[in-house]
Amino acid sequence: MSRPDAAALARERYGRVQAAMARQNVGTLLLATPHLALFASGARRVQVAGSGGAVPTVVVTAGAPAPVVFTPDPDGAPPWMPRAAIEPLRWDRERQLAHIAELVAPTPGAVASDVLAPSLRVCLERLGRECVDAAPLLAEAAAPRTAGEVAAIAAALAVARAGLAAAAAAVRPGATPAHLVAAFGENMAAARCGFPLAEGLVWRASSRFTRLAPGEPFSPGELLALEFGVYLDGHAGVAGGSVVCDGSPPSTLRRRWFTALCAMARQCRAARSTADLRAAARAAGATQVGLLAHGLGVGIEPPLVDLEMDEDGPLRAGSVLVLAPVVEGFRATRALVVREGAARWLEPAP
Amino acid sequence: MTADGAPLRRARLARLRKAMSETALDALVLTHAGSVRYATGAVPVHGDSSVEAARPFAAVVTPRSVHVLGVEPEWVPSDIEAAPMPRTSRAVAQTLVDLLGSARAVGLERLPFATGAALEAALPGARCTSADVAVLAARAIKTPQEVALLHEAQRLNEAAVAEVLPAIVPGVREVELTGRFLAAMARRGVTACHVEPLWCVFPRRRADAPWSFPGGVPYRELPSTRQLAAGDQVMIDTGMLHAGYLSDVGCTWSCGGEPAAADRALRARWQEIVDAVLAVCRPGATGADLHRAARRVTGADGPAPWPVPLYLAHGLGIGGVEPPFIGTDLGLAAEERMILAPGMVLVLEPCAWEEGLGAYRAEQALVVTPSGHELLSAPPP
Repeated sequence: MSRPDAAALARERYGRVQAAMARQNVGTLLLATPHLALFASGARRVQVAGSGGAVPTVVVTAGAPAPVVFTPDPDGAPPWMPRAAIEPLRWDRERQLAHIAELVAPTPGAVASDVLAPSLRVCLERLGRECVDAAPLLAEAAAPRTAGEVAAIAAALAVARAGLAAAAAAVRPGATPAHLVAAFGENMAAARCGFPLAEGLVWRASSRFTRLAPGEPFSPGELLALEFGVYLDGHAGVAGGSVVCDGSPPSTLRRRWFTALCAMARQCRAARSTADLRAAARAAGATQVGLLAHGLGVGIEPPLVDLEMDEDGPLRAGSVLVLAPVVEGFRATRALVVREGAARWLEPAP
Repeated sequence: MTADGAPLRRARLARLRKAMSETALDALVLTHAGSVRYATGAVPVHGDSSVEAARPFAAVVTPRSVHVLGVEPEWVPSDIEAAPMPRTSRAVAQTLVDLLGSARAVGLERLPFATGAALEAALPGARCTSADVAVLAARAIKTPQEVALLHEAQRLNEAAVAEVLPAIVPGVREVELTGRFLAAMARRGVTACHVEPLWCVFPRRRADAPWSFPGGVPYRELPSTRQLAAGDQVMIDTGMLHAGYLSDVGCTWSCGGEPAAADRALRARWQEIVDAVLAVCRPGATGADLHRAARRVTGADGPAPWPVPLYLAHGLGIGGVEPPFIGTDLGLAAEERMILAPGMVLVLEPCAWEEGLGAYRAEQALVVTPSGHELLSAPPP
């Protein structure tokens, strides 16, 4: 099976980032959060094992053919990036900020940043530059996904779904979440998948969801909600489902969840909003447990929708959404692409 | 109870508050999972930065109070105040302001721009600085219980790597080894994969790794679908969290399991570098002493025996690698000020490399003791 060209897809994203910067009159985009740095640059692992702070590792200047990436792993930068744009991560944070200031100084327009840290604030104030939130710009650049990106996300979703099935098959009385992660890991190896998105999540689903510890054993008859995620070729896939230990969820429960899923999916088209999504879920009996829906791309992405929010935002054609309604303790996820008309499912129906 | 126990938490919080006092900070707003756990014992969901953004959490520490936001109650110690994370940036900022009380000097970890801006606006006249200076000072010296957890983390990781080694055979792809390792760790009860596990064939010639930065050895760090061939030198570097503490295990393994004479010679040189560094590793020694000891073995003229911008040694603790970073762009002058003290945990990770022969890299973890040091990791397989 051919694999997606993650570097080429990153270049397409970079083009969208540049276009969004031009529309919003942003001269420089500074990114310190690893998945956002990956989004804009395609560079893997721009930080070392939890050492990342608030100092940007990716600098995008308006019109530049490539971002500047500060990284410990130059082999993780896409091959289309010019060598001069790949710089060693500086452990001397003051020096790194000083160099970033040199990159920012000649650019026009605002400086957008994903974080607001005191040291960065001082650095930009010295330059007399206005600093704005990068989140709207990044949200604009997230969609529309190209066909290649959607295919890459679908491939990651399929691996996550297969891993979830392997994990679910390991549920039995006395087994633990760690057993499920082991089954998921074996599946990752078979799928040639390099990194989990998160530790495997297992909740005991009753009147409320309780996250289980890795060593906590399952009991016969309890309803469990599972969620696993992966990175595959620079894109994220997540899959959630519910199982009963030593049994099956009642078909009526599954049907009610499916009704809520379909009700939400009907709202997933351009010109509808996150408020429409919430209303449809609520009307179908969904309850508040974590996120009701979220975007998916190089990681979990906005919009982050839950039933208790009162903020509203438009659904955009070409964005990928993961729907995760919970009905009477039954939780499962399915992903789709929002379109002008009816959404397109990226995973088979349950 | 799934959060950390009281003795461990009390000792860590005492160190943190002492560091706050010494750095003239009235309060800390912590958002790094390791920092939140260090200060409170609460255990957020572990995941990449996008997962953290989707399930945000924070801790606020003052001299008299500790609060956790965004972590489920069953994962927060019962004596710590816990609350949900508000949904909007403005509400988050207002909650933080309420918890900060009268604090005027506030140390901050990474905040999303909107939250940071709202917090600044809500704290007129406050002095906001980086929390790192206090957090890293507190974490630098480990309590005996922390050292025991780090030691156990190493032991579990070493056992999992040993389980995967027989799978390093011709035809296997680098990336396939990751899932096998994850499964091996999970079978030992460890599920939080903190660093992309590395299984990479070393370049034998500099020309094979044109991306490498000048000044260090050529290297690859990121696994691909490359198929292994007999005799390939496979660099292994894995890090997972046990009770929040990072294990860091590295070694080099010949594909097929039979090292060639050149591989053995490179391993001997690596051991020589490690022995030289260990010989000076005691309280009062500086990072510069360790740096110079390594360079005395390899000579000052050639490249440093580690990749740039990585290091000869780094600290290890809760939630990741940490200072001191020895052998980096911080330079020898800064390393002269990195003074080893009992309770510091270091990982030495030099790389012996020679053009045409390739490389041997492995990692040696240790804790500095009052009389010298004790090793926390077994000899590489």
